Amino acid sequence: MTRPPISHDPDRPALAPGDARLVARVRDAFAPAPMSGPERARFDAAVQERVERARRRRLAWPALGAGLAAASLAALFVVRQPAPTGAPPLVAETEAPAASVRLASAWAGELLYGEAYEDDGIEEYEALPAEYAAIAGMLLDYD
Amino acid sequence: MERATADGDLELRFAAFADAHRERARRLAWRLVGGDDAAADDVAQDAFVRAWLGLARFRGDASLGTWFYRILVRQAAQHRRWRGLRELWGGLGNPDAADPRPRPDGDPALRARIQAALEKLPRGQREAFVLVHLEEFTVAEAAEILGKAVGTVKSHLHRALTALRRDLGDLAAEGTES
Repeated sequence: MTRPPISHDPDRPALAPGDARLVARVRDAFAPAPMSGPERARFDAAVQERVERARRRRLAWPALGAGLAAASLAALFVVRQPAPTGAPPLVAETEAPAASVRLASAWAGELLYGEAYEDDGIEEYEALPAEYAAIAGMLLDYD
Repeated sequence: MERATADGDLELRFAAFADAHRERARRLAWRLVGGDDAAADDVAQDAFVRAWLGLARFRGDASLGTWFYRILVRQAAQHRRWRGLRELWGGLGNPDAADPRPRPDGDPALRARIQAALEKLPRGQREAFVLVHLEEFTVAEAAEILGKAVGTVKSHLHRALTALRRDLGDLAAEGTES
């Protein structure tokens, strides 16, 4: 299969006769066998099948995304709901602030005065002579 | 409505284009991937699918052919990259086994020589040579397909011919045409 030399085409680079022969030989020898009728049909069917598959994938992605978004919203809604009335509290109720203060002062007293000190030592504090009670009040911030 | 009609017209045009260019697309893919029938089918089919699905993005400032062949050349390059990686990691590639449907005519040894010589060319030179000299695109068309300047394509063609003259010089002698 010999084709006319391509060097006469104004849109192509001009080739020397030897190069033109080389190119023509390469063009003729390095080509696939032409497709037969059944091969063409198989090729077209494969293209069609790939197009359909890609279209299905394109449709599936937005649906999957919408499903995920809906599931996320639902999960968020459930988490934000208030606990039903009558249910046990999630966190144990805290002790009264006064009790906390008493515990803290007991800890501070123990630290300052040793194990002998007890929080009901307010009584002990009150039992001190007046001038010592005033100094203790200044140091320990007792009012 | 007008848009839908225009899209429909474009799809009809593309269907006609695909029917007319099936053989050329597969041959170009075959030459770019190094003479592998299965890979050529895969690359050409993938290019048609991508072009079909991307028709809405086709702006019309390039010809339908140039636009399609640009997609095909990129697909072929991508295939070669993946094949290179597979060969690098797994040694799966076997260039000798790349001719499952041997041509009844022609010289298999000559084909293998040409394939080896083309494989040695850098990508730009190989693509320019195949497009212009083997597939008979004009230099301007090849430049548009490859996204390069006309001067760059001419330079690639010159270098490719110089290299091929060195490797396949005997084919340039008179009286060697089949």
